[in-house]
Amino acid sequence: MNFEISDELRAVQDSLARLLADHYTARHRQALAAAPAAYAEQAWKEMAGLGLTGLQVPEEFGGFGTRATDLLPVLHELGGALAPVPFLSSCVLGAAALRAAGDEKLQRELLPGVAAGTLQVACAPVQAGETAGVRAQGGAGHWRLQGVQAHLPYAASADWLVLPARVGGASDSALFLLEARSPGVRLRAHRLIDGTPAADVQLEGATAAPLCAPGSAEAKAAIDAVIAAGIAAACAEMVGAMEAAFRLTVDYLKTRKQFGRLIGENQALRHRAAETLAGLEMARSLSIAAAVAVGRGGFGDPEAKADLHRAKFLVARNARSVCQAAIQLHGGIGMTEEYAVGHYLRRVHVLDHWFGDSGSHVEQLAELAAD
Amino acid sequence: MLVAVKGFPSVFKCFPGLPSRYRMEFVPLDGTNTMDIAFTPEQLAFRDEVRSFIEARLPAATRSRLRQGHLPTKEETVAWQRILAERGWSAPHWPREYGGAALGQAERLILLDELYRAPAPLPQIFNMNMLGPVLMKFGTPAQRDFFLPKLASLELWFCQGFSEPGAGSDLASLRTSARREGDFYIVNGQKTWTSTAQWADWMFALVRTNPEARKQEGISFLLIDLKTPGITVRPIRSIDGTDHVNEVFLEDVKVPVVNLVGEQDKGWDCAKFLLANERTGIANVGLCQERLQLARELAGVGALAEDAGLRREFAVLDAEIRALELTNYRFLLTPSLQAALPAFASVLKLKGTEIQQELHALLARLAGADGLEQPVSAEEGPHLVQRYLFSRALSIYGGTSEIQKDILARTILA
Repeated sequence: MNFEISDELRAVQDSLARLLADHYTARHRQALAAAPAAYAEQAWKEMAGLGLTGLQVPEEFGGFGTRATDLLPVLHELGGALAPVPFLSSCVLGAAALRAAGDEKLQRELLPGVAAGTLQVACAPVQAGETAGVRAQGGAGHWRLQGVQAHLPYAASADWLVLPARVGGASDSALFLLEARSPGVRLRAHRLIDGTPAADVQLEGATAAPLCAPGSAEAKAAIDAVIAAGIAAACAEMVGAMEAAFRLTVDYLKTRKQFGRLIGENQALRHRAAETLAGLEMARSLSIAAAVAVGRGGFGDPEAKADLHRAKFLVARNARSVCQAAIQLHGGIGMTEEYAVGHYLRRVHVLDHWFGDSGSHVEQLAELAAD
Repeated sequence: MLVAVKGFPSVFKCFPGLPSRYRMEFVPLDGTNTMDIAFTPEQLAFRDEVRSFIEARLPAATRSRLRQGHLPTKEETVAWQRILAERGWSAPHWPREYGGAALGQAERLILLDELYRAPAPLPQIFNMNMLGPVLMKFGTPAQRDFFLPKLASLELWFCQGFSEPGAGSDLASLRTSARREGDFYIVNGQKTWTSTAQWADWMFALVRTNPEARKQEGISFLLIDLKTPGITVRPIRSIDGTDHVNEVFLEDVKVPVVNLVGEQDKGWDCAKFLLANERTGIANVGLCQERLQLARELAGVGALAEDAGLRREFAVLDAEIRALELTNYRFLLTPSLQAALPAFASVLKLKGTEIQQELHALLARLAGADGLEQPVSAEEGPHLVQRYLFSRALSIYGGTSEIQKDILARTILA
């Protein structure tokens, strides 16, 4: 067992922290709010310059082929900074989907761009067992999509989209890839509750290609691979968000005075802070387990599968309670748009929903034991 | 393979075209510094060895009683301890010269979890976890030679005389006095909540040797033979109907000065060292796993098997226990984390206690109507409800949950 983040990765995290401090400030945040599809472009370019966009792309396609555990420090940092960048969307989910694709020509065409950050693949945060809003019709070489993929993150800035579609009468979905700006694709851009740019993608006969043959074991494995990568990344990001909310809270308890003394001298508040830390540490452990599970075969391995369900359930549940406690310990200021602590709860709410929420994963875990 | 960063700023070799003042030189990682949550093959082999040993040697009656919810009796503990001693596992982390197996932290955790999993009695904590290490650090050569072998073999059963009626969580308020007279200390006072004193041969105790000194100063660490005249041990019946703890009255008890551990008036150092050593078994992960498994088995029959609410409860506990297990390993096996969060043991105690109490409560519910009947014998028969009642003590002894939160808050808000 080794739970230590290597010095090298710590240095990566430090660089990312500096970069985000410079290129995603309150001023950037305000500027973004004005335009519905905008994201933190400058920060994104710098991240690409750092090579972070290539972490999950195999070496043969111009990336670094790192393990999911190597993403942890990067995602912690992004979770803490709340910078809207298509890292999860393109570099984690998009890369996972393309890695699982059967078509090497496609990989050769798209993955180097993903690695360089010059091409964005917006992949949907898929959930197990969901009924896709999109149907695919046709067959080899001439698939067409019909329907709506709601709330696809970073769709408006993307070059390519990856989304699940039902094929024929089947309830199972397969992942399809299509060009974002092609005939039959219309976007209704909006922001998610946490500020993430997203769009409802309306498809009317748009041309698309399945990543793997619909109905095949590979197609199922590709969806599982995206969900597994998504769970591990969402958990890591939630841990980053919890950490940041916790740090803000501790600072506040150490500076805010009422009744002539620091509020952090009150035992009720001190105990809540202690419980918060305990919840954070438990979540951090399972977030590591989720990242390890991705490298251990994901949903294809029984123990890894259980760890993924456990992690998504417990990390999301604890992240919610940590962020709620953080707001409570701040009092009124914690409720304001101006102050960052509440933003973490919004982000956690979105991350809890993606890839199946806390409740659905505890159910899946229960079913696993019953089998 | 990749990755990262030598120095800053420097050149990031892979995308030389992209200008960035955050560029770093990515150097290949050799893969040795990889985050992982699996045991090594050697550790897995050790686990199998322990598992087979327990399977072959654990008396069936002991196993069956523990599964029913009983704590081991003295006889069961002693008998099992002598079997474990064949491999040095009765005092697993002690050096071999004192009868231990010199196990590293990971192996020690594996052993404990396997014992819980069986379930089997654990190494007796007062001898092995508490007093033994104190004597190795603070004891005289004569004390080490005399006591350590007897501690390891359980020839002497020690209990811990720390708490007093007026000194529970606030241990340093203790008032039991020891007055030096020639080659003896004359000890007067009362200890309470003394676990297993009714079984014990000796007691290690904190006593006040200097009434003038400030609170923590003026306390000494004494080894007291419970057969010495002037000692009365009175069991305190707990809400589960069993005697776990005792009052120990000391009236003009003559303790030879050679039984002082460390220096006079410096006993608090021994106590702090002893308490800091309690971390390894503190989370009781293996016990949680074994109790959850038992709950699943009990629910596996009849209508309960279809109970979706119950299955969800199991799943929640399963996730909590996994988080506890990994947190336990993460803290105990990562020195840098211990430095970053010195109060980590409080996280383990707090969460471990919460989960155990939930499990015991769940098992008591599963015992159903049959659990309502008061047993004829406290030693035999189903004991899940009694165990549930006794589990309320988990968040009280060894530092209450509130004290653990105080400790954590102190480090967080320092």
